[in-house]
Amino acid sequence: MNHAHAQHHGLGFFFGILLSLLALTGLTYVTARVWSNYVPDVLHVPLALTIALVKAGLVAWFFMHLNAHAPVNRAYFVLALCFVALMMTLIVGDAMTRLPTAEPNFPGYQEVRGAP
Amino acid sequence: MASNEAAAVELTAHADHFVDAAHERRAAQFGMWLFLANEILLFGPLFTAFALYRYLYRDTFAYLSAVHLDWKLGTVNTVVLLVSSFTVVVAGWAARCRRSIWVGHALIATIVLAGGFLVVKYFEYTHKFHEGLLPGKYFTLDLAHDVALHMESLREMGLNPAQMRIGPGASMFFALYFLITGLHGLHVVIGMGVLGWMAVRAYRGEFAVRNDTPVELSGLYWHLVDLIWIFVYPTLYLL
Amino acid sequence: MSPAESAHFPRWHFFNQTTGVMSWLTTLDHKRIALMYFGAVVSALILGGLLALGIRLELFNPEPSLVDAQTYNRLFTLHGMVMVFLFMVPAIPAVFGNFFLPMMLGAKDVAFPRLNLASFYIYVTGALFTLWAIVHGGVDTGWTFYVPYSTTSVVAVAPVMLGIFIVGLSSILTGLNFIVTTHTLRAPGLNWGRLPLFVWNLYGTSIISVLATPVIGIVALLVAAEIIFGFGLFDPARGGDPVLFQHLFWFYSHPVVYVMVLPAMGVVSEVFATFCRRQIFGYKMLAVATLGIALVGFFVWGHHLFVAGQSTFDAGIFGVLSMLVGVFTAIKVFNWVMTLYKGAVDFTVPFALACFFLYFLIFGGMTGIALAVISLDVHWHDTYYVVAHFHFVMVGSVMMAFLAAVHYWFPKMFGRMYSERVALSAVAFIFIGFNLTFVPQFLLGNMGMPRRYHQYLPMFQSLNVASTMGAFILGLGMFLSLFALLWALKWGAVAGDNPFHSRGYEWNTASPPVQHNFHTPQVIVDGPHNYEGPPAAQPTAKVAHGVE
Ligand SMILES: [Cu+2]
Repeated sequence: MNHAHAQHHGLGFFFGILLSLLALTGLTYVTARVWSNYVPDVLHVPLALTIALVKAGLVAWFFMHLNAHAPVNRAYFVLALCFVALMMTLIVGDAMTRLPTAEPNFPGYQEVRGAP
Repeated sequence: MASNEAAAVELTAHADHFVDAAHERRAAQFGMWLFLANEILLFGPLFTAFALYRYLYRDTFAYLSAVHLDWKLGTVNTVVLLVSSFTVVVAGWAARCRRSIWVGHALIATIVLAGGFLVVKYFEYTHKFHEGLLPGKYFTLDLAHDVALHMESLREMGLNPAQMRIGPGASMFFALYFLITGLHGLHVVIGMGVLGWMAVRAYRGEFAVRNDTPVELSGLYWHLVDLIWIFVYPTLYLL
Repeated sequence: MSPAESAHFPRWHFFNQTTGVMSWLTTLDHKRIALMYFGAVVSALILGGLLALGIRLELFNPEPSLVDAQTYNRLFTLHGMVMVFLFMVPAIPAVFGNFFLPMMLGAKDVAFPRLNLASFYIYVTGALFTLWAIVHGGVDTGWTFYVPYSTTSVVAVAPVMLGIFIVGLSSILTGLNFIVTTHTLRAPGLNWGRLPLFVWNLYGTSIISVLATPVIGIVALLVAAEIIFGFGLFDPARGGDPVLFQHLFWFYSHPVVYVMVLPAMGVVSEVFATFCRRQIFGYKMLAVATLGIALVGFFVWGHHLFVAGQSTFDAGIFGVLSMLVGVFTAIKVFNWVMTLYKGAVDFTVPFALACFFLYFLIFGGMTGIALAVISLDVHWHDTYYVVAHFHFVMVGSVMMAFLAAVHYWFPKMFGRMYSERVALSAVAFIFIGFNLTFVPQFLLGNMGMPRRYHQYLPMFQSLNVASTMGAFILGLGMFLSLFALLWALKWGAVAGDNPFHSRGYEWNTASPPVQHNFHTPQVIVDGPHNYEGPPAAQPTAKVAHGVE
């Protein structure tokens, strides 16, 4: 039935997925810290997020057998992620477009700034 | 061959309102995925709060993440969780092959790794307690002094403290750090409990004669714990 | 409609196939769980209703009369929390959804019966804990528990947050169960195009329950953590953003309006189809609009933040998106009205209630559209206009649909018929009382009377008196209705299997149904509510089923 497909993959295959997950972990560390000067500032967050999404995709698709599960399982997984994205976009978007707090002199900022 | 027949009966056993065992299994998988979707929305607001405050206090968050979170421990924990995810896959694989004892072995390995994760977390937490890096009203770190102390290492990291707006939102960073890792840690503990129970059942030989749905479902739960950590790691430790 | 003279009460049914208190407390039968929920939510309704009467009595006079300001604040907090979390959210899904979803799918039970029972006990635990926490702590934050008041108030808000988390868990599990049931347990031949509209609406509701409820759960925990540990997450003094709380709170609490309204729409669709003797006009559009509302409901939460310091950019987006809900709702209203048009209308109690639902939904919905206009909202925000608006939608339409469901399915659930005449007069009282209660509140709000105040200007008194009188007429109608039904439980005429001659799938069995719902396995050959031609499938075997 539906796990017959998953059984096509032996343990070796899953070990390969693990290795790629570890490699991606290395990549996200290296791009964020070691080569950080070569990565433009605006790209730091999108890059780390993309790598995390790829890793999450590998875990969900292969480790969690989403490739072999019913399509509706995939749909709800994606829907949940979409709702988180929606929440984040409109809430952070609110702060970004709210003028007083988008200013660098947000209350409380001045006192600390002179200190160091 | 009576025991074989008994095993066959066990394997095809299903609740009355389902057509067959495969039908029940599909329903159980779907139910678990819905539960995981619900878990994603449980963590969503915490990540949203982090995104919001990281936007408002970018430099403070960058500073605290670079100086006061140990990326080495974070990376070690990432590796530990990824490997534990793999061992759960092994458990699921063994369950499908009806090798109940191997299911048990793989689950024990997972639990040991999870324990390792918690030990690392314990050291991280006690270190934070020590430095006064607690959220909200318990936050006692003298930031100005702290920045002066870390001038050197900041420069090494390519950060220029003179150009950074370090200060506001410092306690917020640790509030979110403790909330996110705390809720995640709670899930780790629950996951260990569930997997431990599965291991007991596996050593009893249950999965040699019964279908492997329980192993698969608890495995799914554990993968989700890993999945969330995959996002926690860069957001807290790297960005 | 009078039940068939020859109808006889079946010998065996789910009430007597097993007996004893324990057979109820440990039951896995969705019908029994539904009835236990019924008892619980009706208790919550009575409690919340009595509190409302207390509030109205206090507002009879402009000056403090019955209770002091603090007690008044506690009264409306308790009223709001009981009505929203303990009554409205579980009311239709947990009672009628639980009872009829499997029957409408031709299934023996929900997908996870144990989970179903667990979610009932979680609900009861959470409900009792919340009630205890509110009363014991004297919580006076209102049901919205906005920060910073809830995090700085001296009263113990944290336990209430935990209680809400627990109640939320129960509705998550119910929603999860329903979604899986709808996907996996449909009878042969029951494809998605043949699903009863009640099932479609439950499905939409369940999506919201599963995907939005965890947000209120975590928000409640954050507020509790804020109180206990002082995280400062919403505290501007520590750099926190109180608007974040409102964002997250309404990310759940707006969609949850549809958790209440969608099942109501489902009930009304069934009732209109049955008593107009035709399938709902534009069935497919109605199903699509259901999912549309469920989805769009997630995109509009910011209309509660127009005056809370949200950016004008976000406010603009939310203002426009909020109108979209109106589009989907309008589609539904048009379809119901088209169903009525030239339908062979059978004027019964449930039908009357469904018409009242329509009236309240249109009235409440239109005032909601008006509130989504930012400039108008600035004027009406936090006035009685808003109170009247959401009571029209939630109490008006949802309560009418709840009562319609009770009166429509009562014969199926209990096998007996209530007195139409008494029920109809009760419903008339409810309708008149409700209008008299809340129409004045629209006017009061527009005149500028703020909500949640213990005292008001003497110039508002006449309208407040009208409102209070209306509330008592409403209460009278509710109790009359309750007594009519309780009387029918024991002494009502035997209803027969299908007193309304409905062709909904759930009527294809005895009243009350047997333990596993149907005498014979169901095979669906036609959509529900097809009133052309002879009835498709009636219970074939009427043999008495013994205990299994
Ligand atoms: Cu709303």
